[in-house]
Amino acid sequence: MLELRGVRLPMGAREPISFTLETGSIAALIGPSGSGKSLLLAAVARRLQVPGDIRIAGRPLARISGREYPLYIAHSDGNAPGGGNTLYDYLSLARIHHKRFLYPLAEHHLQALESIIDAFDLGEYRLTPLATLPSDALRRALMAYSLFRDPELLLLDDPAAGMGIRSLGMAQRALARHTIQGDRTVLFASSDIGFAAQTADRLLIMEGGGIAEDLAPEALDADIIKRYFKTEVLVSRNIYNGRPEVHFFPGA
Amino acid sequence: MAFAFMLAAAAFAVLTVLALGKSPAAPICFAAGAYACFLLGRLDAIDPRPTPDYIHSGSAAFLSVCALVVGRFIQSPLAVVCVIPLMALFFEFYTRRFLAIGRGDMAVGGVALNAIFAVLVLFLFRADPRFDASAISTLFSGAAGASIDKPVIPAVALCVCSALHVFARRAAPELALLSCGRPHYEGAGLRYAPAWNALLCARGALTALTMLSAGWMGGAAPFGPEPRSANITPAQDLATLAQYLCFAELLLLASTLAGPLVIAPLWFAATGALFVRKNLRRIIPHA
Repeated sequence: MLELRGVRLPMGAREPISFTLETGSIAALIGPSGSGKSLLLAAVARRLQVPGDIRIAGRPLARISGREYPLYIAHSDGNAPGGGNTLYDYLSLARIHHKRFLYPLAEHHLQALESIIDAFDLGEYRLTPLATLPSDALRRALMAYSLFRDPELLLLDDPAAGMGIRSLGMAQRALARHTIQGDRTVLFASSDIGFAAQTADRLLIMEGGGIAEDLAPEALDADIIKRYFKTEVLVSRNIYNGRPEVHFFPGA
Repeated sequence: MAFAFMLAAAAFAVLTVLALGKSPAAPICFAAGAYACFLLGRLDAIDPRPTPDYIHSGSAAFLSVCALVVGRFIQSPLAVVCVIPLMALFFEFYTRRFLAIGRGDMAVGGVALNAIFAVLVLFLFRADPRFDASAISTLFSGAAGASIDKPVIPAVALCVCSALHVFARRAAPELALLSCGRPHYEGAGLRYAPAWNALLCARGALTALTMLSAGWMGGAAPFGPEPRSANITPAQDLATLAQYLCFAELLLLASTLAGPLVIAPLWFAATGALFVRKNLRRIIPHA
């Protein structure tokens, strides 16, 4: 689905970035602050021009036209949108590329909108302006917007930031549902290693603008975290899926 | 509610024409100006970077100075009518695209421009014996309303405003997306720069139409700013428009009875009423 060859971020990494993401996978970019996670997402979203070859579904990124773009890519940088739209109005804008100019959104899209509102339990905020949403609900709304766009490649920048535990569970389930058919791919950056390890099928650890490690979540351990994040943690295993859970040492 | 305001607007217009002997073009011209002012308010609702209205931003003062200068040196009403739209576009592009100043800075700049205009008018009154004081009255009440006798031209302007309004309602989702900002707009496969330029052109054209048709009176309506939402229901939309029209016709009636300078105290009264309405909770905490 996504291929990067010889991509160089403007951070002077020694090795260029090259990796491939298969369709249907969920990959997480983790790494210390300033390692280039958001820049890499911006480059894949075509918001940042970088040297190298980026292909989506076999097509060079630059060859994807403006009209095709929303069908292939949705990128959420985690920033709240401007304007005074209510939550319902905002979410309904996500499928604007499926409607004809000056015509309303088709009925089946509106039904799908109701499903996504239910999936993120946002019904009570339907008529609330985005600017006045609680931060946790706003984070859910941003993720719901990106998912409702239904692109082939979903790029999310720190989707777990500011989410409460219930919202994290919803986000995790929503991402799993999004890729369950095997025709959608998710690449997200996360500063929450625990969320990334529990949600992604693959972890890409970034350092200094390059990919330092490419591993399965099960392979993440305390040594790797100490090496790249310069912090001592305890890593246990989730008893249901065997994936790592990160704990801090008390008083450390 | 909307119907009652429309009826009142029609009654004021009829009274102005039949009882005070104004040309039928005047109330239609005023209605077009009020409609344009209402649409300016609607544009603010979808503007990614909203600004104060055309009086508080200094746009009206800037255009008035331009009109005075052009009127002084070229002495042709047609030249004034041509210059105002061009200068309105220049003001929009210069302040919002090239300087890209925000709401607060624009309001501060607006105070300065309004002060410059006031000083200039005082200077002309005191120092220039050839200065025609009626030019100021004409600017306040709209140059077109004062000079057009046939109601066809303002009626066409009114129709253009209606068409723009219908278009804005049908294109509400696209316009609402514009208000979300550049990443959202371009993420949907739409081109932001042309849309932003079109928005500035529309603002310039509507400001010019407001200035030409209703002068400074459009900004005296005590109804904005409203919640910033692109998806206002048709009933809310109609009610607000009816209030704008009603207030504009009332101002025309008052200015016909007491002279155009009555607009200044009315503007202060309306702005004060709006301030109290918007800040009632702060003034009386448990209201």
